[in-house]
Amino acid sequence: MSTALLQTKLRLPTLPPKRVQRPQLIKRLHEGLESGRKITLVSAPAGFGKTTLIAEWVYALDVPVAWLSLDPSDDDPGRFFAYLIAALQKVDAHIGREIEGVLRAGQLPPGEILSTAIINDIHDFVGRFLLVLDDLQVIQDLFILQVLEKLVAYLPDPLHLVLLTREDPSLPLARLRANNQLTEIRAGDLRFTGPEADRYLHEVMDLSLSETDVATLADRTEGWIVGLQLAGLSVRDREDPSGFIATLSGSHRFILSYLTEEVLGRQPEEIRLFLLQTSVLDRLNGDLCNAVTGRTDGAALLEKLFAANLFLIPLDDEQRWYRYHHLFADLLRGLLCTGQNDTMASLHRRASHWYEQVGLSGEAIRHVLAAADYAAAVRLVESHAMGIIIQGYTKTVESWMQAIPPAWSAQSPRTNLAFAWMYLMRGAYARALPYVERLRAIFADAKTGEEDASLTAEWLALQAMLLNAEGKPAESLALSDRALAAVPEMESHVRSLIHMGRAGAYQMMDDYEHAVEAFQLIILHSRAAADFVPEMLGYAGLVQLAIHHGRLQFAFEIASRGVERVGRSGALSPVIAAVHGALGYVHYQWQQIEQARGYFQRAIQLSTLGGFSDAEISYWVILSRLLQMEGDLEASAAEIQKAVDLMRAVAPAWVREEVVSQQVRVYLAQGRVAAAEAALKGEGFAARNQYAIPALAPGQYLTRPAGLLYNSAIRIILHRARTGHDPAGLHQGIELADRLITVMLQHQYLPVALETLLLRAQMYAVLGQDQAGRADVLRALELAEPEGFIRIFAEEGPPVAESLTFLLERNRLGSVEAGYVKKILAAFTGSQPSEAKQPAPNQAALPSPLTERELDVLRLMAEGLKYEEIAQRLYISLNTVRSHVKAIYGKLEADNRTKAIETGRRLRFL
Amino acid sequence: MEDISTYRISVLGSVNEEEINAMSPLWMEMTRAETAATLFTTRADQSGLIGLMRHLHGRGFVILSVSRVNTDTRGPIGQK
Repeated sequence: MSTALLQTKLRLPTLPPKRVQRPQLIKRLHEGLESGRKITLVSAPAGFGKTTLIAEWVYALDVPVAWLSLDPSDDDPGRFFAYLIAALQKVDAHIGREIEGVLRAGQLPPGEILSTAIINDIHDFVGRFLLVLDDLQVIQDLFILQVLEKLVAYLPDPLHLVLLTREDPSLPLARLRANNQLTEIRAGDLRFTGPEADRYLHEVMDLSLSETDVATLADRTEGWIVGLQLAGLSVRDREDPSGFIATLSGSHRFILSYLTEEVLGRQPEEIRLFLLQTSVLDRLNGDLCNAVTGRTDGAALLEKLFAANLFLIPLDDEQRWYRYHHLFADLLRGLLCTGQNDTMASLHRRASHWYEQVGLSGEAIRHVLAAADYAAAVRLVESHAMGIIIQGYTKTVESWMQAIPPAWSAQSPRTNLAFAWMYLMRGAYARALPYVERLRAIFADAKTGEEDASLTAEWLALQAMLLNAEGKPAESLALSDRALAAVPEMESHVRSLIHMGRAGAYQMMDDYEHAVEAFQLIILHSRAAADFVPEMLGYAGLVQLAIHHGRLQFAFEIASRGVERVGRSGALSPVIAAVHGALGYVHYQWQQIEQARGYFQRAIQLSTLGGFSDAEISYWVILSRLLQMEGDLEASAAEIQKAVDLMRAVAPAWVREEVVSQQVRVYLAQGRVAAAEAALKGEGFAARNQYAIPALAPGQYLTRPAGLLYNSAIRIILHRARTGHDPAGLHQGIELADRLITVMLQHQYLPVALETLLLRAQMYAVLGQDQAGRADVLRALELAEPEGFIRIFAEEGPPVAESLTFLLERNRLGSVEAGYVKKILAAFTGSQPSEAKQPAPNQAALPSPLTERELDVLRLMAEGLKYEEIAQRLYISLNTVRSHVKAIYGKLEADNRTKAIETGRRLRFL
Repeated sequence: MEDISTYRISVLGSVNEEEINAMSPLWMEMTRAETAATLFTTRADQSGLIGLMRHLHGRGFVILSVSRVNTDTRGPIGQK
């Protein structure tokens, strides 16, 4: 399916050249808008002139209008919000930029985040604008409705929402109606009055009818506009229109089909056939009509139908694309399918073929499904499902799967593979399992995959991932090797999937080198296959691995490359939060605190956007650490509490130890030893209700998270000894530290090992064994210097500073550079020499330098302030802020806030 | 033309009036509350009624019956 959005859905409808003016209704709409009501609801069945009325109104308004014409395929959150944001950006290109990037990466932010982001962006708009959602009745998806509900509940001042629908939407309108916040136009208001019917038949349809005939038609059709139009077409050029009108009886509910047949019967055969055949199309253009009808004059006939007022609505200014009036199309289809199912199926097949040729696979699939041609549907879904899933239109693919009978879909390996991968990558193993079971059945047949090595390789890769989830990395690697042996050279997509399994398995086996290589291959192959999200997963996994092993330089290099790649792509996967988080961690350890803070805040923002609570928690943890080091214990405690609260709500597994570790630090800094012990007790550090540390045998394997917990336990021992509660516990602490250092260094978890070394040094110091303590500090320096760790020393406070000073002053640093130690010591005092030595902002890199005021605005933007807040802070008008922002974007070559801030950081303005 | 009518809607179980109206597109006035079913009335045209039915169904309410009470077209729809 093409990712390009159909611009015809975003443009204001073209008004019919001749129409009946409806000043009373326009006046009501105006009054509603001027009185400050938030919403206009136009709710009436098809054919009442809703779209025409609102189009006429908004053309006369002097405010910007965002228009979105919805169709049934928009009832998919990914697609709906892509179009909604595109419509809003017609008014202001800044609205929804972040969300747009996320959607472009094929991901859907949580509803709460989505609505908040859109509402906040609209708040920044200066002035007022209209958002028109036409044919809203097609939207029934609960997720979309919940976001709209939030939008309706917190409608920002600049926005007036106009809803056009055949039925009242499932939104809290009763409340708005009670508060006089709703302008309503309904069927009763839209019915043509007698004089309006008269003007319509005489002036619009150019008919010469008597007053009685007009009154009869108005009465028979009950002022229903589409009924009048059909009636008008039926009597046109009749010798005895009055006679025909007199024969009409019953309400429009009964005469509509009759009139349609009359209209058709009065057309030349070629037009009649053309109308019936093309009624299967939701949109029409000349080429498509030619493909469906077998004619060569489709474009000319469409122009002819439009001129004849035959319910054809132009969708673009060039009049290349049209659609039939929905109701007329329904009636035509009703006539077409009477006894002609084969004809209908054949027309749909031809339409599908045309759409496939022009690359609109979504439309192609919809038409073969309408033709009940399941073999073709499976073939198309197999070819395109993965691509569409990667774009995030999962509901669309799910609906196709439901439309294809299981007998057909269960036999399709590629479709089932696409679904299994989708759920596995989202961590939803349970939802992946039905597809895996189908695949087992499919591949149990020895013939499957025989002729398609790529298919076999993909199935092996999927099984390897499942084995990782079952904690069987060796078996997983064996399958990955088989997959690599089978996969054709050019199959980059499958190769990236295989390396995902390998990366996971090597990580579980603590094989750093091979895991790094596997992650690099994921990036390489995903990029070759243009799979953006897997590529970002590769970056995220790689930087996280590097951080866990203390490879700061490498993490910095990869993360910078990842950020640059995202900037160039225009897509914004929330997965990239891990990359920002890694950059934050590196800057933090390098004592570049403001950069660190900026990256952590961005990481939290992106994690929130993607609904990645676990990542968000881990960044709250490190922010807490940062604030603690700055001496703001209160703020630090508040940040870690956010992490704890979120962890209780979502209970992710892999961040628990990180949270507990920081909780213990904060509690001890607050002097709350019992609380620190209680936090660890929850992790199994207890026996018979008493705080106790699980035994750690020499050589016993420990994971990195377990290492964090043991360090926390040692930290409590140290604290108790220092406060005179349990000095004897230090011997147990030192013994634990000995084993922990060995195992963490053996598995190359450098940051954990450094922390343990520094804790052991402090325990030695309490015991008066200063020499042993300094030896540990020196060992830590030797290990830390190549990567430039600074803060890990500063976090430990004065005892470590004293050892460092002693080593420096007595010149006992061995191979360690004195300058490095001076930098660390400066970090203890808070003078931050590394930042002080930062070069001046690089104005020379810009074609035109930023002014002081622009720098002020950029800094406030980086703090996350809205334009209104910046205006208040700087005592300037909102428009001045906007012009500064425009200038900043131009000079930094950025097209949104995020990019401007990133470039600002890179050039050291921030 | 009978655009607006008063409808009586019966919903399974005991349902709170404020709760059901908090998110509703049309105001529904509770006329009888019993454990087994709750009876509401509302004024709606066809678009309003269909939208309301779909809304109730989408929110998990079980609709037991819908009947038209009268066809008084005066006054606005779905108001408290």
